[in-house]
Amino acid sequence: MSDLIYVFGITKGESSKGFSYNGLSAITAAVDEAEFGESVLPERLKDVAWLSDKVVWHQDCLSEWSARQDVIPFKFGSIFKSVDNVIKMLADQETQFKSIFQKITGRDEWGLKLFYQPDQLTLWLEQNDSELSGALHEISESSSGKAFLLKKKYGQQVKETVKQKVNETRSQLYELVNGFSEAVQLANEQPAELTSDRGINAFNAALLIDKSRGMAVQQQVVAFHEKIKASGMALEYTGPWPAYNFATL
Amino acid sequence: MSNEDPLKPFDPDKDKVLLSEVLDRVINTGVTISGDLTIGIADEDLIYVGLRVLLTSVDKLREDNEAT
Repeated sequence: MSDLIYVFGITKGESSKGFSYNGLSAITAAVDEAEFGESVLPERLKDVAWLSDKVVWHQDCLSEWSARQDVIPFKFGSIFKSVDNVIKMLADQETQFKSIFQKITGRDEWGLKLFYQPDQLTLWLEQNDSELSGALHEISESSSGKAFLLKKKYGQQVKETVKQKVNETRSQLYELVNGFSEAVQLANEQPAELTSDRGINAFNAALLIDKSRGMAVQQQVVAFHEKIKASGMALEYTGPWPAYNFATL
Repeated sequence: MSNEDPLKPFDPDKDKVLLSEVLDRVINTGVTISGDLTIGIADEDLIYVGLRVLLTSVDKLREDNEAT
């Protein structure tokens, strides 16, 4: 038995199911109390298999809708008990929803991350950074006592050069995305346990991009990736997404 | 382009990276409204505990799904 209404997000226009108010419609699905009810939900959220299944279900539904029209995505787990309550929600926040639509209409969200492999980047810098290669040469020419001291200094110098290179790349990337995005939302870098073998996450942003520029932007992102990949750095570009990061009341 | 192409097609079932992208967005972002039932901050903390486990066990899950 379906007794609850799950809301994925909002579109413009009338809904065939009657979840509409003044030109706004909720994208909904009927769900069971046994799945999403108040008494079972806390336990459900601990069930990773259930959670991953439902989170993908949420995204798949929004992705299908947003391929055809503009969509304001809701956060996972927005649940209502009656049609009237859904319509009341639309009515209460009509102005905010319409102002979000103004911002996101005709645009997609894209995710952009920069990663680097510290060992590979260090090696690349040792070969391509004149100061580092000079220092390495000096160590190889020095007596063992002096070489020991130089090596110690060199370790610090490597760390700083890596940091500098990453910062420099991050700035270039930021400049690039500002050039083609309607809005940029920076997020915290992902912690190491989530990035696994992709390296260290040094830049994490959501970009709002006009649909008409999608292809041209992809080419610029690929070109940037090609330019940095020999040094052990890489871009990861995902999308198009519904505008999750740009839908805030 | 080769498999080094950063523009991977979106396929959360096959791609652990993209599943983490989906989770990040769907749980973290999007409009927060006060529905009759809404997942609150406390629940989000709870989800994150699960999320950590999930991302290390996606491969396992995938195997299970294929087996059924």
